[in-house]
Amino acid sequence: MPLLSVDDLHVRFRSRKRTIYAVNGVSFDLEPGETLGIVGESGSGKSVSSLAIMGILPRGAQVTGSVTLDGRELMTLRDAQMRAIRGKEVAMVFQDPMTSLNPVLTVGRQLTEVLRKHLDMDRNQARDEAVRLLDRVGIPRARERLGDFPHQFSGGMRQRVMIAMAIACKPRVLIADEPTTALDVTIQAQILELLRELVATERMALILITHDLGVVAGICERTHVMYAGAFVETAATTELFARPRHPYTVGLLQSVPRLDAEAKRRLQPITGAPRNMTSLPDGCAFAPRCRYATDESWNNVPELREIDPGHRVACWNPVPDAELAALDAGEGGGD
Amino acid sequence: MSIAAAEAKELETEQASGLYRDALSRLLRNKAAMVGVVVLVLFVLAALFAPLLTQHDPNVRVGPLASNPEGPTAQHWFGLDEQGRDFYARVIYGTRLSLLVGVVSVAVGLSLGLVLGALAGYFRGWVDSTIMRAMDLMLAVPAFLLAIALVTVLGRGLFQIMIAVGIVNVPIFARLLRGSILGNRETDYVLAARSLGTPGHRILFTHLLPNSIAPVIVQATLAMATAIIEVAGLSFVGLGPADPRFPEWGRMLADNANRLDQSVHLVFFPGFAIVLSVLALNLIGDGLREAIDPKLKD
Repeated sequence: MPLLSVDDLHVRFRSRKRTIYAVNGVSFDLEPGETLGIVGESGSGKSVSSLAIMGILPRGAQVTGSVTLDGRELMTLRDAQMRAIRGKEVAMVFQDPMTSLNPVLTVGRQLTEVLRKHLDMDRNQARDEAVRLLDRVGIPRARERLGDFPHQFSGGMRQRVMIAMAIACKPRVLIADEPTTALDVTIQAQILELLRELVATERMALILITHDLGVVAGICERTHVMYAGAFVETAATTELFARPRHPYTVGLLQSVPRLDAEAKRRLQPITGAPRNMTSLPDGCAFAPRCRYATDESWNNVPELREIDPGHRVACWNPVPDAELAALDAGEGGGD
Repeated sequence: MSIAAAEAKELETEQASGLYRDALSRLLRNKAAMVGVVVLVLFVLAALFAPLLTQHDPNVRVGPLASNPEGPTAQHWFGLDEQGRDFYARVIYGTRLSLLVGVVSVAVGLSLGLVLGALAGYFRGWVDSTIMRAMDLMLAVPAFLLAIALVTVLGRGLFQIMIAVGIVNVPIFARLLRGSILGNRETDYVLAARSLGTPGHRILFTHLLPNSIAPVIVQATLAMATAIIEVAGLSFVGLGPADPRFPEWGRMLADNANRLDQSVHLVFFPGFAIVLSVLALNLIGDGLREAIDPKLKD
């Protein structure tokens, strides 16, 4: 049985004027200790999916589908039951460490609050454990820094504090939503290395949400590519990078600068704009931006289907391997 | 930024500690606010140690009844009033009442306003609409008229007057806190706290309130100033504390307004006391606003 299982997750935001279809049928399984990447551009529904799994979407969001942890359905839990799971079984690291810590409370206070609530520690135990955690995530002079306020930490250090809070209760699932996006490149590498090391030693499963393919390549065993609120391709990360089949994945990979490319080769951006999410598509959501779109693409919504073992694509006309080689050589593209 | 510069900055920020401590140090550097603090401290000392500052009892006659009482002398610094009482003693003892009224009425308004504002801002929905429409209704009536109406209903005791002036302030505090909470409830740290399983009441009390209270503190200082004026005003129109033995600045003004042409001191000293105390509170309030407002940070 998978540790975490998400089945047919839909999220809609309904207002008087219009409805936003943010997530449209996302399903995936997460095994214990697995590292899973979810890649997509802004507005593709990555963050909304993770907030839906945590059950902390704003009121007014309509969530349907099923999320089970160890076979236990989370969507029907009462508020108090769900609170006991948040932070203890499933925890989350957010994008912007500059704003994710309460500015008027000391770091120690925020960290011990989690420990005392979930693990029933007394003040001294929580304090010692907080020091151990800060030390664990690489904050120097941890004991002295407990009394410091968030603004006295740098961005990278704050993100370490956020990670310390998230792993405080040894959750089995850690969701990291763009954990390095707001950080300098050098700090990014440190934070990713920290996450990788934590996941390996603490046997946590990690869901890493990002728009950065390079981040996924470094850490994740499997990767899901998300577009317009649904997964369009899913495969082992090495397979996905070696043989992408969905035109969107191909486009994403081609729009990343590569050091081994010839000097003259130009980046190939994906043309057009992300899909307007105020209606459900009649066909493939990517069709308006896709060079491979067929009549079928415009009229029928493609389902994820397995085209190679462990490699699934939602596309009526996947990019063939041969063409991929041509694109890679820099001959294709250029609409 | 070079690494050295980054480290220097880190060291520099390490000196300061805490949002409110930063604000305090900015407040201490504000000269106008410090003048306000000094004046206010003098008023507080005068109220506390009134018996030490004058050997006269404010309610004991020491001179003749006169329609045209004597002005300031070496013996009676502020002169005598028409009943022959030492006017300096009356003004000094009057400080007690004014400060008491300021503190108590603001405490009443603040506590009610905080509860209502927190409820409205945290629960939203119909709770919010109901509370805020009621507040709008109260704000639609001019504050002084509302105070007059409330005193008429509640009665003319000192306590009733403080309640009335306090209630007038409720919608101001409620609106302010609600707006501040609304601005904070969608922040990342609230989301992060929820993701860690923090229950709603803890989010409200440990995360939302401490981050939303700053503008309310500023307003409380300013409200204390208006409370003093309002009580003086109520006394002036004859709705002051019923007991005439309480020396009260507003009533002194009212009683002596028709003697302005002969005995200026009877109007000048209580009027000056009102102006000075209100000015001090306003200076402190403005200083606090500047110290706390993140937009004005250097």
